[in-house]
Amino acid sequence: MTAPVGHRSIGQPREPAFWLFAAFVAYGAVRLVEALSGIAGIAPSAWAATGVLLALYAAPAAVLVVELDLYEREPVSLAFGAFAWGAFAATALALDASGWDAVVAELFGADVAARWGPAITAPLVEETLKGAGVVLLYLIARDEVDDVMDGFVYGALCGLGFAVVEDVVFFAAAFGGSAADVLDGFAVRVIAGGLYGHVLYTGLVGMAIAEVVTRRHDRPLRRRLALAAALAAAGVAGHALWNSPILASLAPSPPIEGLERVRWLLVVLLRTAPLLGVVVLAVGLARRRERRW
Amino acid sequence: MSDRPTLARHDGRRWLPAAAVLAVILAVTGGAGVVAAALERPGGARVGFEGVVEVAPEEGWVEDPGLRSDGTGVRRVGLAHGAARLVVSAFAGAGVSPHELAVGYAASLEDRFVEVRIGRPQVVVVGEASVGVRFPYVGTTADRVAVEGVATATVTGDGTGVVLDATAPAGSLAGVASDVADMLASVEIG
Repeated sequence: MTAPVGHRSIGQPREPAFWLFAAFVAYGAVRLVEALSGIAGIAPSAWAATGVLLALYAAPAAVLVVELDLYEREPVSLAFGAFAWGAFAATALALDASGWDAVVAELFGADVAARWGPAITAPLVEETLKGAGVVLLYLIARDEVDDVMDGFVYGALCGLGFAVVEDVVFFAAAFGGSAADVLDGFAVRVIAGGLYGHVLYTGLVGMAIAEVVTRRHDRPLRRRLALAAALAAAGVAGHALWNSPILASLAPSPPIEGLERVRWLLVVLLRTAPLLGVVVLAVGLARRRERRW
Repeated sequence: MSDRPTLARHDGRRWLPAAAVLAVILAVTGGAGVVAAALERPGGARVGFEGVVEVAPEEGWVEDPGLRSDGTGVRRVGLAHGAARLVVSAFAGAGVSPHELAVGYAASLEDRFVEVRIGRPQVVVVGEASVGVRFPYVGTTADRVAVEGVATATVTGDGTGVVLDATAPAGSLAGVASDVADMLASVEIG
């Protein structure tokens, strides 16, 4: 009796999905350098501070996400691959898909597109592109995606990579003047938002994908698809709520000082509490399942 | 007992799932262009101010009525393409050089944005032969939206200051850069 060959690393050249994955990550890296070149020279002092802070934020967040997978740590190469897909491939492809903003403008007018475009197009486009990375990782290393929890881990890491690059752009644009400005921006955008953003949205999308592909033996297809649709819809809806102008209108206008920081934090919690509650429930169920397994 | 390892499936069907993922990615990215092109109206008539500045919109760019204004000393008209904008401003009687106009316009950005960073200016040719000064910038609006822009300042023969300001959400200006470049290359300066 021989043991089946498992896929323990992302380097699987016999898998067509591996080449597709590698090609898009490489394309994304090149594309992002081109897209960010216009901003790069404007606030050079921001880059160093931004890089340090985001490394401090991203590394613990990545460890925390992986640690949630209590019974089976994911291979480091796959975890890095998920992060790289979010950071490079998904962000670059999202730029390529920016034409959907023009579609919204054509259908609903320029004013609606400016205010609501990010809530209409970005959640659907970005979660689809990030989810494509999770699917490719499954195709590359099926043995490593064997439960819903794994889907959450890879999805969350994709989302983390996406958020880090997105934050680099934001910081360079908004807070690049001095160390105090960068720290202020970090506190407002990253700490107040924390893990409530792309990590959670794409974590749910990853769970949806894993629900379909890993639960074949104990759930009928119709039920798996329904549950997957609900999980993915929760991720997209959370993303849309964050991007919508509804809650932004409740937030205090800058400069945010004194008690207005409390109001700002309350608005952030209002935006993210329902989504965080859904994710806590979903992750809890997944961990209960994995414990039984 | 066989020594041969049990390999994962190595049949041609392994291409299909990867091909399906590729199709989805292409549909999301390329599909935007196909649908937008199907909905887009042709470039349309030139916009601007006769004898001062006129811009021929590229395909997909339409005049945004909300950007038009005829204030005292300043007239403004704008084109929109999704979230991107090209705003054309004419300052009557400016009587300044393109460099001075650019400096003044850069200073005015601090009124528009909560935070703004101005990039290095460069001398450019606007339209057929007008000398201009161009500078990039990034700013944050009161709604905490990061915006990147490129402003080009020039002066007409009778001393009217003209600024063509292309903006888009941070990171996406590159997507409309070629359209903007074409419009700036074909702009008519009085």
